[in-house]
Amino acid sequence: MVISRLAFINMKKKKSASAGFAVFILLATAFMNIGLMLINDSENFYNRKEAEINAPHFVASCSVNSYKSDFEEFVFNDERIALAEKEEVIFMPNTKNNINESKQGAFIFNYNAERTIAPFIPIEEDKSIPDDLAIFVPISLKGNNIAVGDDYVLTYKNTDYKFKIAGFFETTYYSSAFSGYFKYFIPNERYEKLYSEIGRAIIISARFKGNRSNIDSISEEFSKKFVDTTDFNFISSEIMQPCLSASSMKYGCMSLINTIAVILIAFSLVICIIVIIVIYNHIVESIDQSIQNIGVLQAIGYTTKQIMGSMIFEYLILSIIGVIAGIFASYAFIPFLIKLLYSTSLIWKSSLHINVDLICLTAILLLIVLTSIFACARILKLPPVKALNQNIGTHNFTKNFIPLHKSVGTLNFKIALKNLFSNVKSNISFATIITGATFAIGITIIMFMNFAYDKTALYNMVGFELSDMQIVVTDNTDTEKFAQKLAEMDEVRKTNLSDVTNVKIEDIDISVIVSDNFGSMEVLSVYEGALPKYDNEIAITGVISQRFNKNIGDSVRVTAEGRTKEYFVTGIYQSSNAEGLMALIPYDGIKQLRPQYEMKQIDLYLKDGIDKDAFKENLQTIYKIAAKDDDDFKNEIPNENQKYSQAKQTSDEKIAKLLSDYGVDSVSYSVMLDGKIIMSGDSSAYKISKIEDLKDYLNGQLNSYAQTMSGMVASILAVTLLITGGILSITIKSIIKNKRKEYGIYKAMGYTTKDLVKQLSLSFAITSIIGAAAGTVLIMLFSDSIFQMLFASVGLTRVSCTINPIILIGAGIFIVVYIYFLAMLKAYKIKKITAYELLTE
Amino acid sequence: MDNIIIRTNKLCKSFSNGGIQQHVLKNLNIEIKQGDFTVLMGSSGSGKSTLLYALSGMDTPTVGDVYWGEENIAKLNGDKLALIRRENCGFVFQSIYLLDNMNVLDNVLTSGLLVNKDKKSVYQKAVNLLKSVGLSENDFLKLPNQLSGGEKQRVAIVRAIINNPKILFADEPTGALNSAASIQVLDNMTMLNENGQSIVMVTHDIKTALRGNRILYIKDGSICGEIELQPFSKAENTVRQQKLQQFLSEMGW
Repeated sequence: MVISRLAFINMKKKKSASAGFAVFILLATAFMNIGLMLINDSENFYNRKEAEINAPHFVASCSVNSYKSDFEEFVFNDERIALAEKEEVIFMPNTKNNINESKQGAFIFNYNAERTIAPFIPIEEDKSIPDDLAIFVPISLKGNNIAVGDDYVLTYKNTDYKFKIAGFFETTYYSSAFSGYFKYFIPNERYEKLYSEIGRAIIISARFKGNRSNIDSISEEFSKKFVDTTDFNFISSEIMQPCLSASSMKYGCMSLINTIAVILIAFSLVICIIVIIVIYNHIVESIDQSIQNIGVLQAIGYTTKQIMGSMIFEYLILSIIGVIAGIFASYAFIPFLIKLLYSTSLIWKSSLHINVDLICLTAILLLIVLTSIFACARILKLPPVKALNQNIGTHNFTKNFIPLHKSVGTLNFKIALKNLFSNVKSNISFATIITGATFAIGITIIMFMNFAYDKTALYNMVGFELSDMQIVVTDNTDTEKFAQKLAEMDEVRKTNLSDVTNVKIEDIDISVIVSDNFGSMEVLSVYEGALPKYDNEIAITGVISQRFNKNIGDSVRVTAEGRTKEYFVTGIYQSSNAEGLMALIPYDGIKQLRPQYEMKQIDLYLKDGIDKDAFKENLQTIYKIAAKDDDDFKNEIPNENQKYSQAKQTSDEKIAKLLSDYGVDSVSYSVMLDGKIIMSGDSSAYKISKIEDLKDYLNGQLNSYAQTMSGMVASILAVTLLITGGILSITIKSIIKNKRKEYGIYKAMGYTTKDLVKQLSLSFAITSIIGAAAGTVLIMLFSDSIFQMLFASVGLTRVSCTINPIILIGAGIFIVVYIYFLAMLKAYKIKKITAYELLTE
Repeated sequence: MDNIIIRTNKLCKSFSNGGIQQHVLKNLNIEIKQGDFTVLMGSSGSGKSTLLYALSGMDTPTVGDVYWGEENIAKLNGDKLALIRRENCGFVFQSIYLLDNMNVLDNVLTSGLLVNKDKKSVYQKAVNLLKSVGLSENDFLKLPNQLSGGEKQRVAIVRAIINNPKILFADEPTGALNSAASIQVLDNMTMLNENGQSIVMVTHDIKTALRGNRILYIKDGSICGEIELQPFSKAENTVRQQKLQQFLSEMGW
């Protein structure tokens, strides 16, 4: 009772400071709670959603022309499968939409069709939109601020297909978060129209029976049996697997959630550190100010423990209020969180998470109580007489810094410096807070610059070479010769050969990038060691390095096609693709395992100033790629897929033989099947299978990621400025209170309010400069480690962001200027108090 | 009129205390003359300190005027009053009020450099004045908590006069000092007055009041009486003391 009474009296005396602390604790709790909730809930959330929307555990997609009944039989007859479905859908590769301007593949489903796996469940449906215009889009697109009723245009082969958004739906795949494809639903009426015009694809989806321990195995087996064969014309680019396993779908949805959670928790820890420093200082100052009162209480008969107890109790009450309010605030934040997480293409549903709330409550209360105990401990050694004589902390025995008659600068500046030196402890604390604030703001700015504004750092993380375009050649094309021919074009700076294949390292499936000249690559690089050059060398990702404990100089056993060979690790690099299970092997090296292996991709680099789209169109005109590429999805001979494929294969072989036998570059040809000419042209049109633009594709994927990052950056920036401003207000109020008499003396001497305000704001500005400089140094030293920690969940082991020093320094200057002007604003309270009141009150 | 520094016209000052108005000064019309050592006397709560602060621009009157020359400072804002104080006033307080984070020299220079930017001349003047009040060079770098009460008050006097103010305002300057220190401080102030410094001092102590040549007695916010004395002389103080005691007795002291 006695303790609580003292505590409440103290809280009443400094209402605004008490309110400020409670708000800071609220913010720290809210961020921590949300972060922990995300981590705690993400696994269950996904599993619940997967069950709720009956999402598939396996998806395979291919063009109608390359479809074989073997695919269906393989999946449908597997005893692990509980349910499997096959569906024909409209497919538009390289389609632009009017929302994010990048090219994606579009799978258009008929929403009237019957399906059990991933049935159509509309969200926010507007039934007034006519069927010939309606389209339902994944909820991930809501992150682009689109709404029901908005226009939605798909541009495919220079034709605009106009729709109006009639609603949204949830999906675990083809939602573009990291897939490069969008899934849509349209009503039967429009579907029938487009079905006949545009190419089609077959999608096989399946759900597992009860035991999910080996849930990805079917995807691996399907890939091995069908995808690795050369006649499987899968419709995804070489980066993505044509089969989606349960893990890859989950990874695509959930990786962003983990990143957000880690950022929020890290930020809440920064706030906690700031709160601890502020509370510690505040307690120490309170003790100094009320030292005589403490002496009186001791003289009356209060024990030191009772006095300490009242102080600790005061902050405990504030913490309880702040933490409970923070927990409520975290629940109130959920609608915003749901919007932030639309990019997962699932609607986050949160339930009560008492365990997380309790963890937060306990952690923060413990932190505050321990800080209070530590700060109050000085009272233990304070005898009553000493306290009554105010014999603690008020006496200054420091050296005479900045003598007024000798030092340089204006009088106010010199007095500001003097004040700085006479309050070293509290200035160090304030500088520490500014260091923390600068660090938080600087990190978020770097994140924004590297992941939302300029995506170079993200490109470097992908672990692929990002040339201007990637040319995939047809099977009969001599890749090297063709690359040389392309390199001779005026617009082309250089070409390089590469490809992707699969091997096993220590029995784990790994994707391997193959090239005969890694040194020529401009984006793909190692962060440790060197790129591989010789046939017994390999570069591995940090994930593989950690997993198998292999470092530079070690050897790894690589297996493919029944052959095993050891390769020496020359370098470590990183890739966010395939959960980091990737490696680099030179062409000569892979040939040791796969003697028949040929690279089929040419990385093409354009000269500066060349229009990429115009060049691509030119290539398409020369090599007639467009007609060939999309014709694969249009079945000119309905229900004759197999015959068509076989005829194509036979003609490929014959043309290749002709080219080889006669030593010519091209032949004119016609292919007849059942009395009908099904193909004709110039064989130079045969050279290119497709042209990809990986950067463009990545941009599409990264847009929603970038938007989420922008939202996070804005929130963290606003909260940091709010907290810093709040702490500054409390500190200035405290200073004015403590220095009332001093200000009265200055005013009596003839110093104006302006003079005093300048002194105060200058001393804060100087402290802030020191804090901001320290924060900037910390960023330069530790930002990479921080990002590594943040992005470890997406398989990245080394993150190196571009730090523009001008922007960083600019951020520091912004903080100093912000503090200076805020201090001036707050300090003007001195104006209202007369010299007489300052001295006599 | 030429030697009048401050003149008040119906000066009133009231304070609000829990909704109740307290009228501390009531319609005061007084003049402070050049070269005088004016003493404001009265019992506790009579309004003498309030009058001191109203005259010096440390506080603003509720009603009435305070003229410094032709300028009515009662209408000025805080910053303008600060400038008036800077140029014209020096203060010595009962609680001394040295800046405890600055040494003796810097305490004086804080005031001196505010008016005169010539660091060398201000520094020299500060050194000379500090020596004239009995402080040695060893004391110049000491912090206030390393000085005795009397030493501190003498530093405060130097700070108050470094800019040659028109008036030195002293509010119970010996209130916190022992008798030996009090005498030293009062001797310094007498010396200053003999050299032409105008002083307005508040005190409730007769021995301190005897230093003045003009005593104003304040009771219930009004000037009840006024007496002029011969300039202070230690040798001939008995007559002055008797005269003052009689005056105070008539005032009801």
